[in-house]
Amino acid sequence: MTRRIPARLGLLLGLCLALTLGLTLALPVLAAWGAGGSGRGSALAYTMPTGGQPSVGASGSSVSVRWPAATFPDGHSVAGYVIRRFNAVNGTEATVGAGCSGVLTTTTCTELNVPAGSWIYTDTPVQDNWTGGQSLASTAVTVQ
Amino acid sequence: MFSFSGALGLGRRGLRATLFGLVAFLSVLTVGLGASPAVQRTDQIVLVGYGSSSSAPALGATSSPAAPQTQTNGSFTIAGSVAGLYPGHTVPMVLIVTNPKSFSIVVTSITTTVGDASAACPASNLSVTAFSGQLLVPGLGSANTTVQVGMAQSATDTCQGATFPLVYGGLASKS
Repeated sequence: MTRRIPARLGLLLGLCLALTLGLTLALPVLAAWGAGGSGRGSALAYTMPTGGQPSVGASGSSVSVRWPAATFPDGHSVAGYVIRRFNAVNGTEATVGAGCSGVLTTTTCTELNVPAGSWIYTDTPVQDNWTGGQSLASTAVTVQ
Repeated sequence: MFSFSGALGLGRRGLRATLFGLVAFLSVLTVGLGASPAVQRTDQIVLVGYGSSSSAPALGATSSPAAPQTQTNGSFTIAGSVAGLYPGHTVPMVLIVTNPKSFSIVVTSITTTVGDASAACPASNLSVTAFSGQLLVPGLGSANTTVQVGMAQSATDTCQGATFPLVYGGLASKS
């Protein structure tokens, strides 16, 4: 003898079948929605600032050099400075000695054992491989 | 003789109710999907670049019909520029995402391709972080996110004052 399933159970079965079928068909469609975006812009690099004119003073064979901080337009100071010394009479560049040689991270230095003569100094800002403009020369300083 | 209702163990009333349930649900499903903006807009696959129109797909997107899960159904625009770069320095850049659709979207990724500023200052001197997350952009509205732009410490003097072109690409899904 065959048992018949009641109408209410049939309705439930139909809904379950329809739900399974419907979701199987609908989910890939809904998951497929996506949008692509695009656009353009630019990134601008700064240029290096020029060094400020240094001031100098001699004490025996030592010369102290002081210069203003150089900054980028956003206010950040540059990483360092290179000090150069020139003969004030003929403009020949001399090798800067201990105290002011190399890349300095300060805005003041004292060069030791400077040879007798009249000298002028400049400072040049640097930022890693970038080099800024050389400052105007200081007034001449005389070492006896 | 084979009987479908008999095979399922359904009486005539049971079979009728089953068919009714099936038809009713599929009708509701059909109406529901038909009203969905996602389906309505499947014909809009042309992407629009910021400031100009283009039929080319955006970066990071594909228009391959074989991969419907990444098919682009619309477009949004990404804009943003930055200044103030120098060696070893990173600056934030605000990206403005604009949604021209009438419904909200969720941007899940934004990538940036950097172009050469010049032959002497190639793109390798610049890096831009990618955005990955959930950025809700309201319909007909815009939203911002921030990425970081950094210049390599090894950037040479030739990169002073350089302008790097940036091209953005992004992906979004319907909110």
